[in-house]
Amino acid sequence: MTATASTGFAFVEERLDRYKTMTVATILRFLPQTEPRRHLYDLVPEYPLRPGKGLRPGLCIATCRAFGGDLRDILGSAAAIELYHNAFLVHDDVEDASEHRRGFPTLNALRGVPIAVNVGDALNVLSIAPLMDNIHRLGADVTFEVFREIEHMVRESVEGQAIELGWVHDNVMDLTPRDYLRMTLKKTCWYTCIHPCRIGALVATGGKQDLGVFDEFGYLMGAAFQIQDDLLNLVGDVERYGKEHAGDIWEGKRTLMLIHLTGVLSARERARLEAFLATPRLERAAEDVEWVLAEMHERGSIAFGRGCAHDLAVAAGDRFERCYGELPDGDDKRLIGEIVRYMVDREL
Amino acid sequence: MAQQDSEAAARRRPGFERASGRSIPLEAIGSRATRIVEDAASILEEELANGIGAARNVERKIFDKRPSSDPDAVIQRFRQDAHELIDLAVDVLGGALGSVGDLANKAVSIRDPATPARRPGRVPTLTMPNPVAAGADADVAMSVENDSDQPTETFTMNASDLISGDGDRIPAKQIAFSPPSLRVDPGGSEKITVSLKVPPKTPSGTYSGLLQATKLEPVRAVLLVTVTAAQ
Repeated sequence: MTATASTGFAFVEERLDRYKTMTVATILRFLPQTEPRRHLYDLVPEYPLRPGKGLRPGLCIATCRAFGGDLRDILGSAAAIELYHNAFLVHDDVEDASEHRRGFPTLNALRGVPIAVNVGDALNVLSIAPLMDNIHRLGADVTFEVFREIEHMVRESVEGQAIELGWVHDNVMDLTPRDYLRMTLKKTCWYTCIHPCRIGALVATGGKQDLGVFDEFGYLMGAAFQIQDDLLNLVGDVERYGKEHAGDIWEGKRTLMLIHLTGVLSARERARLEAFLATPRLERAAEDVEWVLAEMHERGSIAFGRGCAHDLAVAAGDRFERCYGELPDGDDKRLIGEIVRYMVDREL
Repeated sequence: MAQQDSEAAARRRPGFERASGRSIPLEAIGSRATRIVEDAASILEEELANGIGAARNVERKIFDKRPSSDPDAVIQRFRQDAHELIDLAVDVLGGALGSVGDLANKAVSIRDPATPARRPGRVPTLTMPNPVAAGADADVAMSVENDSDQPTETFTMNASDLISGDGDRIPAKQIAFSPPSLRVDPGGSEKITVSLKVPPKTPSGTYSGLLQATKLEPVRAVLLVTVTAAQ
């Protein structure tokens, strides 16, 4: 397929949209046509069909194709990654007691926590079928290696989530940027960027490609992505971004900006912040949320986050050449390179 | 040979390169690197080094044999040795897929005439053959096949909204089916034409949604259409 004349983010968004559509269609092809439907299989497509960037399947498919792989060989693995991602989203909304995601009600708001948790479990379980189905196209050895990539990916994600949940549960106040980076590596970067790229190259080359080169690239890109996501939550255009304004402050999420703020407040201000974070979410006051946000602006926490996201993205751009530089130019290689810039310049 | 294969497999594990002692020269990261990038690099090194030890313990327990090229042997190893959750899930899915296979022998299903064969247990995809401009109409045909020995009840087709990756929607009311209702004789096949009227101001993008038969819930398909700018 020839490249379009699209420039800037239009190219990135068009390509990601195309790959996401293919991935979701693959997911739906594996959807069981059995009961129970009303409280399970009719709900499973709810999150995958909602608007989303499609970053993970996009990176996976584009990497595979950039390395000369066949689209049909990678769609099953991309579908599995997207299913895991949506399972995390469903459970994340339950854990955060969120009521909205991108302008739509969360599944727990629509159907209650028990059904939402079970649908999240189903999204996880249903990822196994496309991974097993890989054996028909990829052979046993590569299929097995993909399973090992997936096993590491999901284990790191639940560990990272446990770390973050523990901070909120224990109202931890003495975190550093290094703590944030470690948590983000585990919770987000492995499954958002690193393993999608690794699996794409694995499938395309039959395991011949050194997959370790993607670890740093994916980590730097993923960390930049997550910080930008957290920044948009605080300062993004609500209509375009689609999430509750300053929702992360309401939730007490330990973002890089909150960690920075904690380190620069006076003892009295820190005590006020600690008391706010110790208050159950439903009892928190809007004026306190606004105070935290105002202090983030005033004390340079927002600027700090922006600078970190930018520098991480620049470093990811340096790493891009190491991973993809020797490949022939093409739309998929271009897509991955532009995603790095898209990570921090996007507005949603 | 087995040891060489084992070492080759180990090199593909996340973090092997770090555990083997290779480090990342900081100057290679770029002269503009700030503390955050340096921290990220060192944290990755630490995590990979920690992970490789844990992975070796797991793999010593589970993957003590050279990976086999025999698919049955691979799957059998999963069933015997894999993580409990995967093992249980394989059992559950195996049962579910087997049930679907049985049902498929006497099931009613949708097929895109362009697709030579269907796979039991899979939701077929109907794709509009060409991109459709905003404000234009398009049709695609599908066949409903009854492989059972009983006629179907009279049923109608329903559609969900079609949604694009950007969240734009084409309302379900823009989709019509001809004939609006039908029944299929045992062993028979009937054609349904799916007609789509794309509203004039529909943003460009790829839209997808579900088509489903009333009273015949297993009969469902995904409709895919690419919308382009108005001509």
